[in-house]
This record gives sequence, structure tokens and C-alpha cells, in this order.
Amino acid sequence: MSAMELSDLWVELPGPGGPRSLVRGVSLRLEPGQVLGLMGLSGAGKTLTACALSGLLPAPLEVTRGRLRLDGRALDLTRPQAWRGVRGRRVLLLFQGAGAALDPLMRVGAQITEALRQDRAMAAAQARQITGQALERFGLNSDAARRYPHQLSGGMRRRVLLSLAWALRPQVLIADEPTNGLDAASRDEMSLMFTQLTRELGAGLLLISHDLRGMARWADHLAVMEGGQVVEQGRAAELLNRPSHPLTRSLVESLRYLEGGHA
Amino acid sequence: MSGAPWLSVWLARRLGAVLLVLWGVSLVAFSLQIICPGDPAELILRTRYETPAPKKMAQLRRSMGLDRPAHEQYLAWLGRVLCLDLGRSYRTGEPVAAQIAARLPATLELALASFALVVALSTLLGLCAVWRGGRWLDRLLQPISLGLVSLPSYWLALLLIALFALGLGWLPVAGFGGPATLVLPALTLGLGAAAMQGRVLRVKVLEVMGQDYLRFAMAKGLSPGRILLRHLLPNALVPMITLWGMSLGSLLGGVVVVETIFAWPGLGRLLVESLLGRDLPLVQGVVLLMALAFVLSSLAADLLQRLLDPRLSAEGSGV
Repeated sequence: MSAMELSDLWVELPGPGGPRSLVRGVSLRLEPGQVLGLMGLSGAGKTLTACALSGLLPAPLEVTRGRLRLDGRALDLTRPQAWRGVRGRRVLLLFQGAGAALDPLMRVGAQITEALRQDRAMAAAQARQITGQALERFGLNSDAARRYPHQLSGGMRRRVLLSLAWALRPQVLIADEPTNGLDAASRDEMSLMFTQLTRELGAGLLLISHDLRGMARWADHLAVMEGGQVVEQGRAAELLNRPSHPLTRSLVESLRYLEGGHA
Repeated sequence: MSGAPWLSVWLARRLGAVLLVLWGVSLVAFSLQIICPGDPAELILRTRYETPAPKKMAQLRRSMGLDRPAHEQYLAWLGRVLCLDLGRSYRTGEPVAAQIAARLPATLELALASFALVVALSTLLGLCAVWRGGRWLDRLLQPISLGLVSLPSYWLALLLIALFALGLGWLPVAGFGGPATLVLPALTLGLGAAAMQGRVLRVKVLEVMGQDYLRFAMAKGLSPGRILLRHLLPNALVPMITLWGMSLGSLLGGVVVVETIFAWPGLGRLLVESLLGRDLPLVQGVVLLMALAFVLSSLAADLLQRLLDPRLSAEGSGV
């Protein structure tokens, strides 16, 4: 059974001259413990797809069609209330600018604990214990839980977000440009941590990135978006060896160029 | 982080600055009696219906120390003020401190009621912008709050009296005693500040709404109530604390007009009465007290903000 199956997602921007479709009929399939890389140029609709996948589209935008199958349960994405109990618990979106994703006025440990304790599902002591384990899992000591975000480095803040994902154990993890603004070495480290986390949780990871080399290295499947549509998708190895769509071909060429230049 | 060394360093510096400001205020307050035309001795005698004969005046001037050089007079006066001896009223001969103490509770009642109004109303106004059902209300309140900001308080007072006291007959026109008499003066004093700060907070709230950490709080699946109380409000309100602190100080100064209109027996009216009667010790006393209240409420607000915002606490050690 797949971790998540998205079918026929449409995102539209209502306007005076009729709605403008920004995401047009996207269907994606995430397997448990595997990484699906979503590629494409800026403005292709990758981030909108990610936001729609956790019900967090900015105000005038709306999902006009789309179904999500999670755990054998189908969600109608056009209804915002469908996200209650799903967002954060079963689908977790980590978006661009990881550094600013933590509330500056709250200790980072509390920011993990509060997510664990939604609906009073968990006792405070247990939540704190899991938070401690989660931070430790990503190389942060227990002292880090009592720190405020500004007291941590950018890399540590990213680890806090990974710890949060580990603690929440979602079935689907969506990471929008998790390696943005990192140097090559930290990019690899971050991608590795994301991939390991996915395997460990048995979650499906939807990875959105401009980092072609990282994608080629870490993704099990790839999907290429252009103009709000998925123009090509398949197993990463096959897609990279025999690209059929012109955009995929040009992406693969630039990847070869990058790797050639690197060697 | 209470008891951290940055706090005592910061507090020591700020208290130093406060003392400097208060010293400046004391200079201004004292120089009133040098600059103001007229001889205090003559004033006193006239208010006692005595003939200001030169002999009597010279006697009085000597007993008050007015024949000594200005700097000596200032030092002697400052020494007394520091011991909370503010002198005696020219008109009644009563100690100034006692008169102020008698009037202070009424003013505090009025200022604190207005302050509560400012905090509550500005928060509500600011939140209307993000409340989903409140969009029309937000649109309606924008021009109204702009109007309230621009209305002078004496005009607002007359409007409120015409509407609620004369028109509807719900509240007394003026006077002191009981909650009913408090409503109109408190509204007059607080509405303008509440509207202004509501507008500031509204911008702040919208800014926080666009921050990544707020979107991430949603992505974590937190309930709207928790997002509002634990993430949106703290981040939007902490910068407001300074503004609120300053408004508490200026509310105390604003009582002059409002108390006069509503016949409220507080410090504001005492100040007006003493100015009209050229009762300089009383004027000096009230001015010093208002300056002290303004400076201390700003300091308290700054301190509170630093305690609540960990980023400021960290910077405080360096600055």
C-alpha cells in the first residue's frame, strides 16, 4: 500500500477574468520509506502543490479539485476542514526558510512538545521525554530543548525541525527546499538525514529541491513539473537515463554538466 | 533567565538615565519660581488678604530663603524634595504632599480605568483584521479608529456627554463617585490612544501572520486557539508593551483636560487650580509627580518587554 496517493489536484486563483489554474491535475504517489523528488523550474507549481498537500494555501488560492488517499482513507482536498487531525499528525510540511520556522519567543523543546500534545493526546512528561529523545537522535543535547531559536545556529535549527518530524512520526513528510542556502557539504548531510528519517519512520518523503545532484543521489522516484502539470515521472534511475520530455532532458543535461565539471 | 547579570547591568544603566531625566525635570520645575513674574512673598501675602508692606515682605522672603542666590535656593529645595517635603501651598498653607496625596486616588482610578480600556480595546481592534468573520468589522473600524485618533479629547468629551448623558440619559454629565461617573471620563481619556494603538497592533498582527513560524505552527496541526494564544498574540503584543507603558504615562498627563471637563477631583484639576492661583509649590509638586510616573511606567514597560522577549535579554548583556 502506498503512503499517500494524490489524484487530480487543481489549484486556482480566483480573479475578475475567471479563475487562473496554477496547478492543473497533478497526481503523485508516495511509497512508504521512499523519496519522491519533485523537480521543475521556479513557478512550475511545486510549492503550491506542497502547500495544497497540507491545506496551507495562502488566502485567495483554493483547491478546486483533488483527492488524497492516506491509510486507505480518502480526503477531499477542496474542504479545508478535512485537514483536522491529519495536518501535522499524518502529513507534515517543512517549508523553505527552516531558520524562521521556529517561534522566537518559545523554547525549542516546547515547540516540539506542544505539537505532540495536541488534543491532550499525550501526558506532558511523556511528550518531554520524546522531545528529548528526538533532539538526541539528531545530535542535539538535552540542553538544546531549553534554548530559544536565536541561540541556535542555522544548522541546529534545521535539526530541531527534523527532530520534530521524528517525534510526530507522520506518514507523509513534505520538505520544500530543505537544503536552500546551505553549502554543498551541509546540503549532502541534510539530505542524508532526511532520507534516513524517511526510512526510519517508514514515511513517504516528498522532496522539493533545485539541487539536481542531491535529487539524483537521494530520490527513489522523480516527478518533473512544468506549468502546473507533471510532465514526466518514474523511477529515478530510469528517468535520469532515458528522459523523454524536453524539460527533463535539459535538466539531466545540466546535471551531467555539473557532475562533469565537478570531476 | 531571571537574576541573570545582564538584567542588573541593564537596570543600573536605565536607572541612571532615569535619575538624569528626573534631575532635568527638577531644574525646570524649580526654575518656574525664578522665571515666573511676581514675587512669591507678595503673592502669599495677597492671597492671605494682607497688605504687602515692604517690611513684611522682606521678613517673609528671609524666612523662605528667597534672599539667597538661586543655586543655593535650588540645592535647598532639591534637598527637601528628596525627603518628600514639597513645601507648603501659597494659598492654603497646607503641605503640598498632603494635597497631592488627597487628589492622587481619583486620578489613579481614572488613569488605570483608561489604561485597561486602551489595552483591551486596542487588542480587540488589532485582532479584528485576522478574525475570519470580522473582515467587514475591520473595514468598518478602520475609518472610525482614524477619526478617534484625530479627535481632540475636549471635543470627544462634549460628543460623549451630548450622546450618553444628555441624549440617552444613561450616564451622569459629570461628577465623581461610583462606576457610572467613571465611564465617560475614562472613555474620553482612553479612546484616542486605544484607536491609535489598535492600528499599530493591527499592522503588527498582520506582519506576524505572514511569518514562517506562524505558518509552521499551522503546519504542525495546532488548533486555531492555541496558535492565537501561544504564537500570534505573544509575538504581536510584546512590541506593544513599550507603547502601552508610554501611554500609561501620557494618560496621567492627559487628565488635566478631562478632569476639568468632568469635574473630576484629581491631580489634573489640582494642577489647573494651582496654575490659575500661581501656587508654585503645588505646580512643582504635580509636575514632578507626573514626570516621575511617566518615566517609571516607561521603565517598567521596557523591563517587562526585555523579560518577555528572550532576544532582547540576550542583547541586553552587550548593549
